[in-house]
Amino acid sequence: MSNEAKPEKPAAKPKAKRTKPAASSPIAVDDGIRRRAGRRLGGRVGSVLVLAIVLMANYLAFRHYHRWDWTQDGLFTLSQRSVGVARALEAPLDIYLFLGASEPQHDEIRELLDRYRAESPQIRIHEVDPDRQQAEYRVLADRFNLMQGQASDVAVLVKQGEHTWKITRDDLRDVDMSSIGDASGPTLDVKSEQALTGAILQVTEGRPTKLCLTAGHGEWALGGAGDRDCSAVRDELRRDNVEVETIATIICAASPMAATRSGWSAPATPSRIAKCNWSATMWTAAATCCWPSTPCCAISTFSPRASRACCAAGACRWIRASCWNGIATIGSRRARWPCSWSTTSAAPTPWRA
Amino acid sequence: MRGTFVIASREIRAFFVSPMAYVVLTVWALWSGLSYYFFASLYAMNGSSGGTDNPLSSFFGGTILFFLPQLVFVPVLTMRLLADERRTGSIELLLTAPVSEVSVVMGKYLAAMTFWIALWLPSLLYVWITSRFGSVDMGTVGASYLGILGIGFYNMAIGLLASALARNQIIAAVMTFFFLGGLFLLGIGQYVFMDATRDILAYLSVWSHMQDFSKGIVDSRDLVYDLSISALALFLAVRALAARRDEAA
Repeated sequence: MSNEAKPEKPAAKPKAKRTKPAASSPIAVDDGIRRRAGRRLGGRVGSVLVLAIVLMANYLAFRHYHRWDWTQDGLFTLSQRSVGVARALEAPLDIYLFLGASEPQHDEIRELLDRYRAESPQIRIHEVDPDRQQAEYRVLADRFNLMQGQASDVAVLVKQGEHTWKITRDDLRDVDMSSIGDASGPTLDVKSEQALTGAILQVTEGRPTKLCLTAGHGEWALGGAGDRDCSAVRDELRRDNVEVETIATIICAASPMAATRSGWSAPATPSRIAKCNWSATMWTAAATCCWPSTPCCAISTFSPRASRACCAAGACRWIRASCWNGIATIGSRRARWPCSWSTTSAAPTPWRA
Repeated sequence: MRGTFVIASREIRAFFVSPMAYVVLTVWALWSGLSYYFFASLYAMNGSSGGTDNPLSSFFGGTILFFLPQLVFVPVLTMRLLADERRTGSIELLLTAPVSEVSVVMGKYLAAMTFWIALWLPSLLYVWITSRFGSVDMGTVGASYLGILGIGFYNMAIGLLASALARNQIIAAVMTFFFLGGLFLLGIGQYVFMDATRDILAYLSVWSHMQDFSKGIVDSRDLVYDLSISALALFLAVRALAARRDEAA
């Protein structure tokens, strides 16, 4: 590079040539100065314009973005169902993330929320660290009734208008009970996407989710006597936009006439009866699923296995009602009352696509 | 266009005939080799939790080992681009040559990007080594290299701008160090601040960009940011050169 410095002198000649005529004519001097000033002004205006364009492009990119998943297994791709739910949003939806940055699930859930946000600009994400933003967290905890005693297990809250839905830390992951005895330790089933999409559906659907309690075979009932009263379940779930109703189960009828006599509110068509007679061992849940005119979530304290099988075939969603160590869990909510019914050990699908 | 390629090839030749190229490439190869060895042995001892948790993801942007050396290597690679021309006086020759400022800047930039790619080419060896002992997701590797190209675009553009503004190489290197260091520190702010501020700082953060890319996620925000900052820096470098040409006239 240094050996190229020598030709500098010859380059000075044309420069001198250029300035000579300018010095001899005042008009040429004025033109030169004017041209240079014009170029400077143009340069400044251009710089401001380019800066404005860059800022605007970044603002738009920040607001409306897309994420492509290049992994071979599609590890960071939302399911079609979740994409559809996110894109169908017509009003702003707020998602509050209440996980501390040091919690193991934080990064994973934050990345997942970004994927939802990429699908719909209606989604607004608010991150509140319970440890570092204690005052803000306390205000939100009071507002959304997050606390249960001194602590809260709520990891994510989804809100649209007046409707809210809470997702606890347990809802984001599930321990595969069958793997507990394995030498490699229990397997974790990550179900955060299911929980989030389910939550969005819960708050965006105008009508509340209907939950139907089977009754008539010694199950727990609404307004039941003594220990076998499920009214507390109804009160707890009402806050989460879930209505609980009782449906008296019947023995499946062989004919429409018999079905009507048995108290069916809807016409007993042959297909309904066929569904109802699906299996002798499942009749309780089948009756629950078959006839409410609006699809409902079936919970059965009597026969969870049968309910799940029924919901897989019918137009309703399955919400798990489980009883572990004497504490009931209905869907995502852990109740504070004792229970005694037995439950299935396999993790059921919490909602049906 | 032809002028751009002439300037770029001249710059590349000048770089690769100088001993500095080999010093930089050797030191970089040593550093990245040690980093890779560190991650490989870490995963060999502790195992992986699956998914994108593997030595290559950690190597490509998972830790500070990826970012700190860039604060040194980028200034070293870019400081001489225009500042050295000014020091030797050859800038006058360049400015009076029948090439536009855009051609000069783009030629230098093309050369700088060639240096950047040359730095990262040996890392393909780590991909090969990893594939010999475990499964490598080529989509994730592709995304990681796209991320490296993206940050290379803006690192080199900022270095070139500093070189166009500075009077000598040392000042250019210091300016680049402070520009890139400032952006890096702003990015760390995402772990300090919350909510909207956090989102903005994460957007500016090279760290979060590379964390996404190294997992196999390509985000349009990262691409727009890298390209727009590069374009702005290059435009300003052209303006700086044009102002100098005006002064000379």
